Amino acid sequence: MNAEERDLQIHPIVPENVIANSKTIVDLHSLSSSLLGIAAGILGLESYTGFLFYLLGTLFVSFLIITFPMGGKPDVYVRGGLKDVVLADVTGGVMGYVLTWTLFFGLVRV
Amino acid sequence: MSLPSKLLITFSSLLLAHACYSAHEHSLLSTTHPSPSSPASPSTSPSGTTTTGSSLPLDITLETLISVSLLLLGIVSSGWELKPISLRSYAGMLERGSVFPDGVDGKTTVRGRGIFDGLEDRPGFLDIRKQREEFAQWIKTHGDS
Repeated sequence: MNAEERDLQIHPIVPENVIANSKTIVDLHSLSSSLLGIAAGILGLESYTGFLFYLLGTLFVSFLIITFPMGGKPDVYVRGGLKDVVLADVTGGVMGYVLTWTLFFGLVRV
Repeated sequence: MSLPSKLLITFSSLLLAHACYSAHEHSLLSTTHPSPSSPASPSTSPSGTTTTGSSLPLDITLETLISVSLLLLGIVSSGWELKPISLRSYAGMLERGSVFPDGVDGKTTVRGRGIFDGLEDRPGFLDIRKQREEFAQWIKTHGDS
């Protein structure tokens, strides 16, 4: 029995709550990445600037998630703590971001 | 969803739509009138149709950034429920009755129970003789017709 298993035996967790919390966080991230894509399209960002904008926006959203629903204590609600809040579903978020980014880039600059 | 976050989402959505429309109008203006001040200047927009992002006025840029920030703030702060993952604190919340598991009605269940509600609600022994008598009665009354 390694250290992590022993820690789980001493401090058991509720799997349903872990799943529900991570689903909520992924929902928030995908919703906000679409909105960030709208902003990037309006601003007309291109190539690396756009991805840098996504990075900054995701960090901002993670900060908001930790501040508001979690009350500043991510370890209570997510197993991995801060890392799992920031890196929740990055690939899906980038997909949604690029989708709305290109859409609004094309809409605004006809 | 609370009222302040609802208002914030509505206001910032309007602001974002306005910023989008302004950027669109600005790009239309700069394509139809390429350079009204100095038409002969070759430095402004050599291709003639595409505009770069840096040509967006500062107020539209600021409006976009502020509206998106406010929109994200409104969405994140609009009452998302997270539950503590450690069994200790979650069971404590269940026993205090401050939270109920999914599918349990908070008004009808008694408070002061924990995560083992399923064990409490198990049916006892079935009275199979009584059920058989009831079935025999039902056969007598309905079976002949």
